[in-house]
Amino acid sequence: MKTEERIIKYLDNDLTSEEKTAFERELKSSEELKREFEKYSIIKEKIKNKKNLKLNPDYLNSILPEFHNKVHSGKKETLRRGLSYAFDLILIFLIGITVQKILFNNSDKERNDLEKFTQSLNDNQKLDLLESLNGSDDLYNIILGKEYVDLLENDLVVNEDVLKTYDIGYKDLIGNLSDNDVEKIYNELLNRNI
Amino acid sequence: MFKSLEILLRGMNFKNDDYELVQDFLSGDQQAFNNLARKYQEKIYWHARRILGDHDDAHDVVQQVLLVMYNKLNTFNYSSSLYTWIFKITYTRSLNQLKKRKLKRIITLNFSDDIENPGYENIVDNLENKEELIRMQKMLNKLPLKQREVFILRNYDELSYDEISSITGKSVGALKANYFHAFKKIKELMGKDEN
Repeated sequence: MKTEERIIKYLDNDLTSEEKTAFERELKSSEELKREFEKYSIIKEKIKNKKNLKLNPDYLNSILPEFHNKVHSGKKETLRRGLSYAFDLILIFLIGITVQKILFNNSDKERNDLEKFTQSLNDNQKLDLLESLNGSDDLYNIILGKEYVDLLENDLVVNEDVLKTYDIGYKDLIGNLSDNDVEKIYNELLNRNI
Repeated sequence: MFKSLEILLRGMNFKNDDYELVQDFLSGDQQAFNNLARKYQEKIYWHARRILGDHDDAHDVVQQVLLVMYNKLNTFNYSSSLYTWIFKITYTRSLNQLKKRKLKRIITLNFSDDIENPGYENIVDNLENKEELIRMQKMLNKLPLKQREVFILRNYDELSYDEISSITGKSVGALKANYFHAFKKIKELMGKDEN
């Protein structure tokens, strides 16, 4: 074991009783070991004198009040956060319910009702309704809401042949008639007192 | 069951007052916690202060350790003394504080190891004590962390190698080796300082 190691172990009370006795014997006889030993023991002594140093009482007395303030404000903050989370959760729940009601429950129900209603109409009735929807400006929008009017219009699928008949204009009616045909129809209408 | 545990703990040289204070606190006695805090706050401060070398950081560690004690004393299972348990928390929190400080220095591009505000001014009254403390702190700061830890825990906190081992998680052999190098280095630094 090197000299320094022996000194440090001796000061640290880490030598066996035999090693300790031998070290103390050598310390008495060796000036070199004594000089080296004093360097280390001075450090040990300085530490010993300063390690139980007392802190300023004002500072010491301020530690606990500060701690309790932190704990108290921490609890308040936790409560505030808890309430905030609870409010957020309620808000999200309400929004969720509303959205579900609009998008899934009511909307689906009303959508089904709308489809059943349009399917129950014959082509002429559908045409009448379409004409009413287009001709009544915003009246149906106000009563039903624009999205339902749009849905209704989409559902009112009219047979194409009926639609062609419906769309026949005045020119389409008379365009292919000869003058004789026109004269003949006119006389017929006069004879029937229309 | 509780009675037998109590007898066992008393037989194992547990500091009876610590045990009673912990039990009283867990039963809702806030004053018991205040007594525990007053008993250990100074030791916590000085340990953190010697590891960190800075008053503000040490003060933060004291507050953190008290908070951990307050919230976690119900988990303390008496497998070690309360003193060792508190030191383990102090040690861990001090290391975390050291990491935070290093990170802060990297972010602010400050690579100096000097402590700008050691803060002894209002903490210690005696001028001679202040100077000696600053001198010793400068030397401690020059030790690698592993050596500084064991040197402080052994010399200032007077813990045994077994206790230091349970706190730091390092083997007794490694701790002794670090302690030897730390002591040797302090002697060299002190010699240079005197010259």
